[in-house]
Amino acid sequence: MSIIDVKYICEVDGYKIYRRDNNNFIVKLHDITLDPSDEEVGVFEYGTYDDVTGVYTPD
Amino acid sequence: MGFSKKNGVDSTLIKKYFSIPKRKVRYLKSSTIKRKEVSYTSSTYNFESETTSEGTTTQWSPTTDYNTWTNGSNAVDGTFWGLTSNKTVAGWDLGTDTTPSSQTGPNGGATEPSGSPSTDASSDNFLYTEASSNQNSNCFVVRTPGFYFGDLVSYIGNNFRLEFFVHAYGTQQHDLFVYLSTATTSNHTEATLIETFTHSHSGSNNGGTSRLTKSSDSSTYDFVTYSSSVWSKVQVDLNSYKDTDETYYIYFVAQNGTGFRADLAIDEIKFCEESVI
Repeated sequence: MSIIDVKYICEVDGYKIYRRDNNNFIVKLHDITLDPSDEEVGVFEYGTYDDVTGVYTPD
Repeated sequence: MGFSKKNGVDSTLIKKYFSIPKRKVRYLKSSTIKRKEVSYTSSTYNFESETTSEGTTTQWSPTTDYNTWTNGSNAVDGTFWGLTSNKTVAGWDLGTDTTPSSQTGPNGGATEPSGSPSTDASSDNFLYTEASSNQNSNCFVVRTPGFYFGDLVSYIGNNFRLEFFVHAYGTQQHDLFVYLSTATTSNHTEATLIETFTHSHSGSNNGGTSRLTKSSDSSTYDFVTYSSSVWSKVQVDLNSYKDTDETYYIYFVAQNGTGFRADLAIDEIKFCEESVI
């Protein structure tokens, strides 16, 4: 498998990618440290992730 | 059929005109039309040779081809840039493909001529203002190398300007300010503000429209929806400085973002000369 439909979401410790169909964690793309009250926490979008190249592409 | 001198035109010239094939006559006519020609007279700064570990706290450290650029506080004379208030000075980040935050930033570097975002390795880099984790309150400063504009203009009567792509989608986006200075470090008081691009937004975080309005002529540049917005090519007039005996530095300054949705990006920076003859 290479191209996966994913959810890209900001969490308190980084920007992470989950499988869109079963919400299983795949990878953390960027580190960040955020206060839980930061308005960015929980903001998400959908896209595709290539698990061979490691490239995320938003829809 | 013979030719005669008519209205002062020699018959040999009339004969020559009518002997030229029709296709060639069209070519000659079009070549006499005055038109503006644009030529790029400097390197294009697209940051493709730069590499850095992209992150939300890692500012761009210019290297190799860009070691004459200065980013962040090292470009500022004093502690603050000093535009409207004393904000903490920060450097621009080097972006590749997308910026980390959703709902702001381009989905790749700018490409000529459409401004479409590109994730191709040859065109995916750009500079941007990382706004997450309350960094939106910073004043972002980066300056170019020095340029002697006389070396970039072939005829003093031509128009001369700075040209670059900008991407400014985001409901909480910064305004962009372009300054000129003869000093290697500067600030709002010492440099000359030559153009302002003011941000506004209508609609939702994902599906709205961000707009930059250029102060000098009120022209507007729209960025429509987060996922589909493309880069806009903007120009800054430099005619007032093209024949002065000075070396100038361009300062890109961004501030006034109100939240994390303020990843403003610039790319493909260059100078161009436009023939007016």
